[in-house]
Amino acid sequence: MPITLLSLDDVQFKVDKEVAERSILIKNMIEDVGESDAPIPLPNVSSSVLKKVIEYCEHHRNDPVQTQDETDDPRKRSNDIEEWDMKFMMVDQEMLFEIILAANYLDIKPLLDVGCKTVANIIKGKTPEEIRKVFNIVNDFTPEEEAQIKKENEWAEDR
Amino acid sequence: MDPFTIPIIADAIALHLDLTDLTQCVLVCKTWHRVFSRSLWASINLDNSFSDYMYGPMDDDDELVSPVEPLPTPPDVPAKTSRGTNAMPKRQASLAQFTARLRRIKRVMVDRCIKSNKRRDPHPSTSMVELGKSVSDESTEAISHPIPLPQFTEAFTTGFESNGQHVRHVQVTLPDLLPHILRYTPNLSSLFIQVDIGSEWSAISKLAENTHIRLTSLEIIALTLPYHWHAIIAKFEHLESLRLVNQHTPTSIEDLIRSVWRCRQLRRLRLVCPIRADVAGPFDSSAGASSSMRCFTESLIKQIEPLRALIDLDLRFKDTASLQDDFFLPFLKLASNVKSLYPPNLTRAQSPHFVQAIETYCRQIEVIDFTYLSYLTDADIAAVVKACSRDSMRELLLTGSTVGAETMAAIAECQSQSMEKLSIEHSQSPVPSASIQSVLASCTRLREFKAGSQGWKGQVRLDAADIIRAPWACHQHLEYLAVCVVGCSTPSLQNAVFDQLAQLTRLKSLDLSETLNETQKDVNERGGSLVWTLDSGMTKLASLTQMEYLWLLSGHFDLGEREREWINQHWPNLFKSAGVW
Repeated sequence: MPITLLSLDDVQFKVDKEVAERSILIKNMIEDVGESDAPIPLPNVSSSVLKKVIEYCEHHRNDPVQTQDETDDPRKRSNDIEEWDMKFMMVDQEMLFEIILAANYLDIKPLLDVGCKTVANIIKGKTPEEIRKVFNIVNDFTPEEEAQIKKENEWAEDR
Repeated sequence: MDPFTIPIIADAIALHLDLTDLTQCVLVCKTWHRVFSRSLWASINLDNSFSDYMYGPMDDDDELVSPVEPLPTPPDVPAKTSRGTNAMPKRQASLAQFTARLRRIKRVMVDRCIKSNKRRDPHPSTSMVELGKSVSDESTEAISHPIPLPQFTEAFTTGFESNGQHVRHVQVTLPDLLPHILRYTPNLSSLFIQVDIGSEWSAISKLAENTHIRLTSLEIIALTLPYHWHAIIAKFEHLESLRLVNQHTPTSIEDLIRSVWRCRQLRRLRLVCPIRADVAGPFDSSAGASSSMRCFTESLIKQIEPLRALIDLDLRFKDTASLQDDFFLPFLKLASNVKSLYPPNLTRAQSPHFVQAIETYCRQIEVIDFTYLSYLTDADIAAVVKACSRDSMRELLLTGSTVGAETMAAIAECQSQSMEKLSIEHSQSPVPSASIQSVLASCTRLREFKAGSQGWKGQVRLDAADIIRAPWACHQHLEYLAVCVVGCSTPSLQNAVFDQLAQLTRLKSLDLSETLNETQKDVNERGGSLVWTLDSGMTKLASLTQMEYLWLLSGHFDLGEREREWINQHWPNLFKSAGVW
């Protein structure tokens, strides 16, 4: 049975229930409201982002539900992004952030995870200045504050 | 919305970064520092707020869950809760998260919980905060799912079983936990511990007896010291760094020396404690309580072999006024290779002896901090500057001390090729403008010069007429300049001052703010300060492309729109909200 999703800018998307339920938020809403034809409002997600999110959920509709394995070091898996996901994440930075925020709001853990991995891969190996450039961030530390932080974190550098 | 501002997302990103990347992330900006510190620092807070329980009922909105069993809680007793059970899943989630986190951290902080009015926990339950560099307001909110001690210990050891060998740094404020930590941390090299009562020193004593652990860094914050504290410390023979802060137990110079003088690898020694004047001990068997300090000091000094490795000495003792005038002599002999020195507070009578001791023992000093040691005279400071090897001094911090022409001349004459950082702000006496200029004109490596006098007596001022006399030798290195420029009475002087400033192409921070309490008469006599308009010469400063901070005094004038636009255009790195302008 198709479910209708309503984006922030009032665009309706019809998707299979199975696809929509990749989002735990939507799954819970459906369970709470019961079977209904009424569109599910998603006031935090724009149509352009929702389209991408649906594309992701369509592709992964048959994936098993992710289990949280505490023993697995996530750092070892950070480069472990599927080829399709990697191509899916080849978007501009604004869209990447929007997808992460939407995945967080809609509670789609695998999508949030792949988004965060993508951001982590951008950060890896870069100096603070390079990171600032990439993400267009202003350095608001005083030299003294910066020195203090470096001193505090010396312990992590001899790893 | 920026996803980095959402902690859960920042945490998820951080999970895929290693420690090296995280240390870079926290340096990006304040927001990133806040969110990524959560992953770089893990902390456990231990609550021991027994008195809170005694004097007040639990609040309704208090989420604390506390074990009912009386102290001490045996490890095998399952925790009972005095409140509803709905906190259990949260607590277990916290525990699981904590255990997982323990597996990838190298530094552990175990801290007492903050004691707020809302906490009524009668027993040492434990609670975890994800961020806990300090017990701050921020972490107060995070303390919502406390873990009773047995469960905490279990989680702690579970996490440590697999990760303990990687843990080298431990910070703990509840000494009872030390045995648990030591059990799984064979490679521990650095320990910070806070002890409140004398009996808690037994944990430190046991650590000292443990020959498998070779501590190289030890920091102890103690309210009191047991009588044999120096014997305990003396067992840590491999220490390279020792910091002892003791609040309430006056100790003797002799005990302090005995605690460290066998640590031949000691590089850094920081002692913050009250000192008592009456001393007697094995250094002079004839010395009793009535023997003279002189006899004792001489006897002690004879026995001291300098610690060759000791290069950083911090002697910020308390209550030194009643001591012998040369009480610091044993330390200065012990630290005859010292390169960085923080002297104790000195009286007028002690100051000359201190200068003499430096001349005798410590001529290799590179960094010395005389901040607010107001009894040292200008001549005393000048003597120290001259006593140190020529061109060896890198940092001289004289904030709030008595600086004058003699000190400045000594710097220009003896340390001009090495001095990198000099602070003379808030000087207790006037500093002649010409002598400030001579330092700037002679010190080739000066990176940071603080001579500001904002909010003070305005005794440190640099006259435009002096500025134009000679070029500043430090122009290739100077990054931070704070100075009160006066006497810019004519357009040509204005121009000349801007010309001089324009040479400072490395400059990142410029503080030209002036004293706030000066009178209008004073301003008139000086003939005005630097005028910051495009027409007055500020356009010469286009070369200062590294500029990040600019402080000008508000109230006297404001920068015009055109000037602001010019600054935006030419100083792309300027952080505009810093400073007053």
